Amino acid sequence: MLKLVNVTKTFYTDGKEFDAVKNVSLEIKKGEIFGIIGLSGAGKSTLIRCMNRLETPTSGDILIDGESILKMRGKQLIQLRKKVTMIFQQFNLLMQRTVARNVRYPLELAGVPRAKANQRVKELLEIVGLSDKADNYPAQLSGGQKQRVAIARALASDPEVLLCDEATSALDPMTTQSILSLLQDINRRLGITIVIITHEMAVIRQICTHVAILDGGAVAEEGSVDEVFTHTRSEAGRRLFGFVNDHSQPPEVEAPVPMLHIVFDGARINEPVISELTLRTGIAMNILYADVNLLGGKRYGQMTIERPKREEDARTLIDALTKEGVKVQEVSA
Amino acid sequence: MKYAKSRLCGAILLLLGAALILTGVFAANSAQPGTPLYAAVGEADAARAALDASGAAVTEANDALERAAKRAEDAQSAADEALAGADAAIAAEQSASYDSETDVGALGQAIEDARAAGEDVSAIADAYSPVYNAGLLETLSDALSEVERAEGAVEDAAAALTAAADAARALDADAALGELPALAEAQTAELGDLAGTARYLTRAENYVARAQAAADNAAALAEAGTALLSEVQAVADAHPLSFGQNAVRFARDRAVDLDVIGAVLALAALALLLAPKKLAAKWKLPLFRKGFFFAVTVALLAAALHYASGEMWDLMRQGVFDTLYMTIPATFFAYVLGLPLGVLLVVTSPGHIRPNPTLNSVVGTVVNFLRSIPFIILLVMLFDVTRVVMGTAIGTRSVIFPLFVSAFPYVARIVEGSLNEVDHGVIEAAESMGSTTWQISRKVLIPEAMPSLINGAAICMTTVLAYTAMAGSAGGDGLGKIAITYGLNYREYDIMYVSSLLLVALVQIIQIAGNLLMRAADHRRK
Repeated sequence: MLKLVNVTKTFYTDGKEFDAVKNVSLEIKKGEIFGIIGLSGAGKSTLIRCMNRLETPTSGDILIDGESILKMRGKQLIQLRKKVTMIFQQFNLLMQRTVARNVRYPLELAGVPRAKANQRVKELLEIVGLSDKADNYPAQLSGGQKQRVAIARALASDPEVLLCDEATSALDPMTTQSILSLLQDINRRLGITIVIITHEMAVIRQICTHVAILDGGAVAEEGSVDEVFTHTRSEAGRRLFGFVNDHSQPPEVEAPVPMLHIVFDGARINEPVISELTLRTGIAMNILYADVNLLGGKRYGQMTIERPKREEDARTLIDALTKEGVKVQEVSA
Repeated sequence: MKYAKSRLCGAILLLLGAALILTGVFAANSAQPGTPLYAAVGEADAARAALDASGAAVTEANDALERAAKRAEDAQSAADEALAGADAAIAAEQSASYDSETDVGALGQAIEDARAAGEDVSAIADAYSPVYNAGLLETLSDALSEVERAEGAVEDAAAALTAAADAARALDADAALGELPALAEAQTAELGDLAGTARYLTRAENYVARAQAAADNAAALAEAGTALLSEVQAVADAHPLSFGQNAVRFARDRAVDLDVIGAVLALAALALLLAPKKLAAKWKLPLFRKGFFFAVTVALLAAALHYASGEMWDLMRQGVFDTLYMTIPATFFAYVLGLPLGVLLVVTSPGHIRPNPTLNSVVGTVVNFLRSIPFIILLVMLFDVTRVVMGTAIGTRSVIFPLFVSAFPYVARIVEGSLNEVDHGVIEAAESMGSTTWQISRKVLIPEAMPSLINGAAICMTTVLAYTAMAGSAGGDGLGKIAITYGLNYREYDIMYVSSLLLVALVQIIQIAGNLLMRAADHRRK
């Protein structure tokens, strides 16, 4: 569907070069909800703006259904932007137009006859649940309602891809939930591929099927959400996913010892696996870190314990845990 | 609502003040010749006076006519008596033993009476000649001359009778016997004369009758006049002077400067509404700043209208018309060119939707160049171009062109400023939906900046209005020209101040209208 090949974007400011995006290659398949997560300044926004050519990459290529979008100009570019629409952190609604006229804007651009356009606006407002606000102005709406209008507007041209640029970052947690549910619903019902840029783990966890971690303009790690979350390989990923995070001291620093990283999937999380093991094997475990997370709607537990000093204890423990169906990863000191 | 009561009081005071100002202005105007109100009130007063006067005249005429009719009757009975006397005299003469002197005296009296009656009628006719028709007048003077002729004849007859009486008295039997045939002949001739006199008297009687008929006719006319009068009265009663007219008359009669009172009240209201914050908090008064513009405008207009009466009023009205005649078209055409230029300046600027440094700097330089030339100089520089474009380089109409040339770069910059206020995110969103530059300009930039554009338009219009003060240099008119001509050349400072006040008031009106429109067009906060 959407393929990025070695995309690089260099900005020149005050005579200095700065690579906002470095050599990024990604493949986003039809029907996915693809999350791109990274801290501020990681180049997420620049990257997503390349996908509808609001920015043009300095080098590399972007293909949609096998067709390069970098050479597009004029009418082709307009067609592209009707196929790949976008919603924004600050909603960017036309403040002087009513909700209905905001949603009608893309239809006006496409020259859809008025009666037909109005009918379509009605349908779209129904999809986002704002039929009763059609004649209100954006200033009269809450943040969540504004984003719903923006979503309806982005859907007006029947897009294949919806780009979400920090779409929930300006919203409170409750509203974020409802907007994410709406996006998931749209993805499922209309089969629209969604690309989400965010710095919030919760967003990735709740709805994304795939995720790429962006760090310093480059992809640090990517894959399905389960995979990336349970087998985080990159430093950036670990930072983001909380093995090493701001809230708990990094175990490496506190206890520079060999460790075992254990991940429980949804099935085992409700059982006292560790306690049972301790009782059965008589091996005491020193828990360094533990957390339970929601991931794509499923709950995952993760735990970091000190690797038992005695090698046979360690082996017994790893075998027993593996037998219980729990993933174990050895982390050296 | 907070401060609802004091807001209401303030508003009522302000309205009352405005009403008084208006009444006062009308009153002041009505006291000045040449204003429509003055003429209207004057006409109403004159009509009332005429109505009253004609009522009295008709009553008087009625009385006089009654008196005339009485006199005519008297004259007729006197004439009857005289005729009877004449008949008796003739009979006595025939019997040769009558007292001719008595008869002659009675006849004379009758004629005197008839003449007096005729004169009376004639005098009435003279006095009320507008009421009577010309025919009646003629008839009356005919009657008078006939009466005079009758009088002459009667006098002749009297002389003959006297002679006859003298002769009879001096008669001795012999002479009488001897002169009897001659005397009888003479008597016979005189008798014939008397018969003629009697005919004249009959005619006089006819004339008197006709005079009476004419008097009756006049009475009928007077009656019709009375009827008409009561009809007019009824109409007048049905349409009494309106409250406003009465108020105006009251104000004028008592020379009360209601507008001054109104202005004082308005200022009091303002003081209440604009009280300092501390005071406002203490007295729970609102800071009704919006009213300030309004009140100042009303006060200025009231002051200007109060003094601009009569001839000055005409001058000022023409001045306002000329000023707007230049300002409105010049502003309109300045926007026709300036708005697209402003859009061009914005979209071609670096980092905007169609960056084009060359075009941007060319347009920017032209705009700056034109903006840096003072209007008064531009006016002179453009004389030849103006002559080609407008057909003439002199006069109010011709100034529209230089005003336009001076204003459109200004408009372009003001529009540029407004359009730059549009959130870049919104423009980016429009781009992301596949809008063309034209679509973004027309459907995003201009509508989103509309409140600011309206505000800018008010600013541009007031700037053009200020430029019109220089129109006099090119033979144009307007309030500015009036202020300069009368203030600088004639030292008539009152005219200068009034026209300047009107300029200020016009600016206020434009600004208030701009603010109202701006608020109505703004959907960003509601």
